[in-house]
Amino acid sequence: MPSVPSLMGMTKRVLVGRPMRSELLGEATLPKKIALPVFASDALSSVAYATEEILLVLSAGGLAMFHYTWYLAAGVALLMLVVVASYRQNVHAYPSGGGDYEVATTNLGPKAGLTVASALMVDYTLTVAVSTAAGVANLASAVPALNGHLVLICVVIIAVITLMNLRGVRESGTAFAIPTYCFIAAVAIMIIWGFAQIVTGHHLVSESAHYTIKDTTNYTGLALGFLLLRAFASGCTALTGVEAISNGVPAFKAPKSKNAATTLALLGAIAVSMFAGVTALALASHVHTAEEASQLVGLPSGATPRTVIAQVARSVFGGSSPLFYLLQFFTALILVLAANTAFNGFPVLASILSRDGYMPRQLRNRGDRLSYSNGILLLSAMAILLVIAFQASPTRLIQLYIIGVFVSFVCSQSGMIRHWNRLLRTETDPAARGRMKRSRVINSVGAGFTGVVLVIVLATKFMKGAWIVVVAMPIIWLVMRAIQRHYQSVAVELEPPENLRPFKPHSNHAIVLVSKLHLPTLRALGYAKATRPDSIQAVTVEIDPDEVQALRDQWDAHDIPVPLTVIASPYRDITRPVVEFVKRMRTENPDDIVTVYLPEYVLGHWWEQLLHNQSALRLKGRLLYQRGVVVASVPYQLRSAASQQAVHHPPAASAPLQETR
Amino acid sequence: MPAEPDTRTAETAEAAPETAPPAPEAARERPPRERGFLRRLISRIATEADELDDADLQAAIPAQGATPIAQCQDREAVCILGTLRTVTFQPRAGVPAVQAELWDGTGAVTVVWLGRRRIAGIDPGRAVKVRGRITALGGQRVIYNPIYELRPPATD
Repeated sequence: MPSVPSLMGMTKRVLVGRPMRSELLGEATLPKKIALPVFASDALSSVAYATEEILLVLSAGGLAMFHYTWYLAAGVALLMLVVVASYRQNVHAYPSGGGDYEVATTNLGPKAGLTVASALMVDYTLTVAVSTAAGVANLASAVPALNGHLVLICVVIIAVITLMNLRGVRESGTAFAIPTYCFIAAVAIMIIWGFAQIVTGHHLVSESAHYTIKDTTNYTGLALGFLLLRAFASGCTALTGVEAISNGVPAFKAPKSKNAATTLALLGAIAVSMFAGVTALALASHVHTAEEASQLVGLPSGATPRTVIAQVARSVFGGSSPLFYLLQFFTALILVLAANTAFNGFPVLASILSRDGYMPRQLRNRGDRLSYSNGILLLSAMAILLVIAFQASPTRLIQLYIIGVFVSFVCSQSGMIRHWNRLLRTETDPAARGRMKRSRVINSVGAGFTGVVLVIVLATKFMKGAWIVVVAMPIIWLVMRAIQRHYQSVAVELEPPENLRPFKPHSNHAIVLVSKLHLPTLRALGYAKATRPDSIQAVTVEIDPDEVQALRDQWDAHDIPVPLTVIASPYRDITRPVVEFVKRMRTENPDDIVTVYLPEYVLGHWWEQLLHNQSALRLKGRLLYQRGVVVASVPYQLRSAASQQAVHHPPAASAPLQETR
Repeated sequence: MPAEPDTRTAETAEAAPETAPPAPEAARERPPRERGFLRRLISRIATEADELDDADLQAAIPAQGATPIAQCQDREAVCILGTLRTVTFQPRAGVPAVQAELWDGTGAVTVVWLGRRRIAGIDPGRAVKVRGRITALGGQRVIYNPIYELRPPATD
């Protein structure tokens, strides 16, 4: 009979696609032109909101603050270049895909590695949540009708991305390439067009240029410094996603390290120029925005201010130009796709962690399409929870963001310094030494910069919600340690000792559990005899004396050549008397084995299960804890099971005991 | 009142029948009878039903002039009062015999009646009093062809 897949199986096939053979694994690598959008969409997409975040923070100090934007943007761009340069070193030195986790573990020890891992896990989850929320916010800027359903839209989008990733890296790569390139092109056109207008003497005027901002506080001295630092920290969101490439080196086409480094450089160049361009246009067109809509004087009451990039696009292209809508569309799309970067990073990280015993083993399994499906599902579940908990508000979510990224930046860059120090100790070739020293300088600068920024980010965002991350990271750290301890202790216990005495049971006593004499019982009896045990007996529990009498009569009528033992059960229980009986058989000789044969009939449908009670399952569960006891299920397939055979395998119901309780 | 060892000590005693007096720690686990009402109540709630039954079984022994199994010496004529925990019926093809496991709360002994395949009244759960000579056979204590007396349930 040809096997017919179940409804579940068919749904999965439609959603995920045909399973791929393991040999195809090596072929799922990405050329540079696909790798750039796959890994860079996160870093590039932050262009869409990094400028806005800076302006939002500055708005607290009033319009006068906006002239600081330039310095802050320059700082962010510089930081970006430093981080990209540092990561190019990482990619060459550690091409195996462990990324920051591996760098930190190798050079700073497993505790540092675990710190990086927990930081990255928090951040990957936040990347999904933040990008989706920001993307949907942009969509709502173009189509205000969506404003009431942001959470629902976010959840649907995350589900779709999850599905794309379950289909596998190759296909998701191609699907993500086009929107990413379109976004780059659209922003480039906007910047060029905008600058052309400025050069030709047009004045760009954004819709919010005539708004003024109610400055709530007057910032001077320290407070001013703090505000600027906070704006800078917000702008640093532009840096997230840079580490994704260093985690994804194995996914590149050979030569992997070189291609990854080139992609990183491309990413840095594109992101910095886009960020600078958007910021320049925002300043030139006098985009005014504020954290609270009520702070904006001149904004029609009840209206939500558009995102900064939307305002810039409107002033460049005009409010009804198709190019404006196109840019808005691609911005929303890339923000959503930025979430995909995390889907590339998180599952790989989780699989490496589970390889090292810090995460459950299941996260190492590749699914039908060779993607780490369990990791993908875990990430998507956590991100959906976050989105719901924070009501899909990008401004609230963004406060939790980037701390994890900077923790991992700092750890991996200081790890790299140690890495070069170690190599320099043994390297004698002057040319190689020169290269290493140069790399060490780059990484040192990277470590210094990111360290300072981490402190700034922590200090400025802690009260705004970052404390949640600061609490979550150690918890994840401790959980992973506990998982590792558990795996460790199990492994130690299972390790065969040096002077191992080969285990061979002295004798084997068979017990066949019987409730009435039907085909499953006869099959179990026959099977038990065929294993040639040292002793064999059939066992039944007396609940109803008449039934036992009937059984004994049948026993004689069929001339069964096996002694039948009846166990008293004064409390009508089945499990306990049988377990006690088996225990008593065991106490005589520790080297003996008692094998308990359970006849079971296999049902075809889950609802049939409901009609049979599960005492055999309960008994099996209890007997598992007895030393020297083996439980053997002897299945008997009912006709309904035979027709269902190919589909699924429900747990067998208890044949021997189902009549009795 | 005689000492009342529990299941576990009974089994060790079985393996080495000479050590007739039960181990002292047995006293800790058995349901205390002399202490305050509340304590007795709590310990009765916290104890499994069959352990309580064991205590009741043990309590019935001295009144009937029987010997606790744990204190039986090898090759001695004994009188034992307890319940049949299991009863085994031999197949028709083999030697006709009825075999049962008798439990008196201190230990277990196998009783065997040769030459018969069924004995009316010898059923699992039944309280009996048997007299016969106890022997150790391959680590198990056995009484062959004892005189038996069916009794009303000893547990109430």
